[in-house]
Amino acid sequence: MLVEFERQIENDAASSDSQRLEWPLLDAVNFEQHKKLFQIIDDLASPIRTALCIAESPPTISDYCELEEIGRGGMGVVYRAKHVKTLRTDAIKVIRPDRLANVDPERAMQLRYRFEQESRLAARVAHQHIVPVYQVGEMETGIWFSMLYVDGPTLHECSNVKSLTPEKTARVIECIARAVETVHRHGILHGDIKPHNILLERETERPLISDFGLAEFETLRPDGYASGIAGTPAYMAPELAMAALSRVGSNDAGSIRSVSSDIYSLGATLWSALAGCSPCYEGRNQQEQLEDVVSRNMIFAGTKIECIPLGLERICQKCLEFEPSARYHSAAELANDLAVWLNRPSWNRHFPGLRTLLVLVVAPVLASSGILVSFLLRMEVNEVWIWLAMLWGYGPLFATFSASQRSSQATEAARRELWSVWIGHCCASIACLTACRILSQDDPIRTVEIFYPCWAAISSVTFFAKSGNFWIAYRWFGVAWSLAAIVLTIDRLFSPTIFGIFAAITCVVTARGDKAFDEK
Amino acid sequence: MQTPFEKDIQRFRPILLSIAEAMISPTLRGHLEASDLVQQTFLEAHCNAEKLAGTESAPLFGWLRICLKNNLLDAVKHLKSQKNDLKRQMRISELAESFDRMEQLLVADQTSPSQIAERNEQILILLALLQEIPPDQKTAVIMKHLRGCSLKEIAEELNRSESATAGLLHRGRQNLVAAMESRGQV
Repeated sequence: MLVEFERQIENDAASSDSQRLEWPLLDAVNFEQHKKLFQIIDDLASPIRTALCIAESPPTISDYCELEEIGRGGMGVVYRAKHVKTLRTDAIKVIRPDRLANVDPERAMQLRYRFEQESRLAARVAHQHIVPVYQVGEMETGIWFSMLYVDGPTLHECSNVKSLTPEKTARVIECIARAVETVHRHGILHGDIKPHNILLERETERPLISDFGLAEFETLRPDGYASGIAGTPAYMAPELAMAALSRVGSNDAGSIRSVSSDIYSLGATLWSALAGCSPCYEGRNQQEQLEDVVSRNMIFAGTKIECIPLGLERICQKCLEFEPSARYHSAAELANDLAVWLNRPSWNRHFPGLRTLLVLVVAPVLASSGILVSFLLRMEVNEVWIWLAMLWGYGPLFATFSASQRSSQATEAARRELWSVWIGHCCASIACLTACRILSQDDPIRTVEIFYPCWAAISSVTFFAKSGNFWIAYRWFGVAWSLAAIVLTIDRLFSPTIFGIFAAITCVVTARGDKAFDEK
Repeated sequence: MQTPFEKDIQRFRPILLSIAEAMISPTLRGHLEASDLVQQTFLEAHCNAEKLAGTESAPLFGWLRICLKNNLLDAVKHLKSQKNDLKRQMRISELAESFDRMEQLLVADQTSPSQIAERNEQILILLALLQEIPPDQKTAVIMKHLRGCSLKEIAEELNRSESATAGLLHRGRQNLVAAMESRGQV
């Protein structure tokens, strides 16, 4: 009898108020008495129960079994679970019941709406670097959705143990920036980019971005459900932090959030993954962190972290600009800059003498080859010697390339490009020389006269080509060589000498200026 | 011979005991004793007797609650470092949050309307009276009303049949309400 009562009460609590069950088995008078007792105690106890509410037992979800809690965020609890039919292991996100308790109904509705929107937004964008949503369902306490279970650590965990090289970190953020670009193209702002929300799949090392809990459509915003400012202070753009501090109304908040604020968060994420710490100083509470963000009292603004390479530091700084307009205009721009940094050639890291070699060996050889050609022309020797003297500068050049290739850490793409460009230079020159020789009807002086300006023009093209992926200043070399092509027509006997000296200067300036030859 | 401070402070013992018992989840039961935690809390209160003497009752109760919270969190941390199987199941932050929420609930009497203050007073009396009913009834009522467990779970925990547990619950409620009525609180 008492058992019936308890069960009935439990059923009652589970079902909604509108569908009260009948009480056929119970004596009405007794039931009312029990109920009164229960009510007296429960009215007093329920506030404490809600306060203590610790979701220890996972919820029951029809299609899944073996739920095990793996994470907990501001809004939801994430479980690992097995799909009953496919036996695939998925991650399931469920709204935190304790977050809905103790808040007024309007706020609870907002939270629920947010949670539902999260599944919709994440499901809307398909990208290899975004955690895909599989299924959305409903249960007693609200909705749940299942998504890809990513077996691996978060970027935050990796950076904390410093297991990532700057190259790997840059690669991760590049992928994530491309994903964020896609999200932006769909008109969605992620709103909570941070190392904790970036997962690295263990097997493939594929980075994936998750947690669209604060994401929003850029323009579309139903009335009454606008967000206000939310996010993680340490990774929040200053304009948002400022709005949060001044408690801007929720309707204005939308106009402050923008692509640029996501870019800032990406930059802060990159910086923190490289530095291995949070951008905010330790021991500050949320309010103080917000103030720090606004007043730029951040670690990246104050101290220089030695382990961050200069190139990446500059990329971070551009993302972390105070003025939104000074940051990258799109995530794609950031991704491209990271890609350029990743593909940068770095010849010298394992070949310390390369710069010296260029200055002390290659440059003199190039200069001497020009002087020698001028000399041989006057001596009227067999023209074979002249051609040999002309082209022998390629020897040390290619020897240097192959030596540095074996020991440098430059990427495969950079090496291939370097070889292609210079072999092209060599082939074009020989072809041009042959053509000049044929056109000038066996006159070596005439051949040289026509050939050297052509050779300078070929060099000009080569340097313009190199300015794309190597050093940007190579385009000025290209301009200089174009001018040289004209200068070389002035004196036909001295043109080889001028060319040789010009080549030697190019070589020295390259060795001195190109960052790829830096010793570090 | 009890000092006035002693008298003052002992009033809160049953309340703190009930809070601690409600906080200690089934996974921790057997590893932690509510009475130990409360005892430790009172020891610390005695060590600070000079500082606390003359404090009004509300701030004193607040001090005790925070002290209990810290003791519980420390104990759980210690347990977690020793028992691997507990690592996943217990979250310190979660426990701290629960405490904070309860804090918000209980300190509401400082500034809120009188009916809330009155209800809070009743809640505290309920918590105190819980310690006066037989232990099995107390455990059943705490599990049912403060932790929201189902009848089945309580029966398993107490190692009794469901009908026996339902009886315990009923008698527990009867005793509690009777005790409250005798204090004129219903």
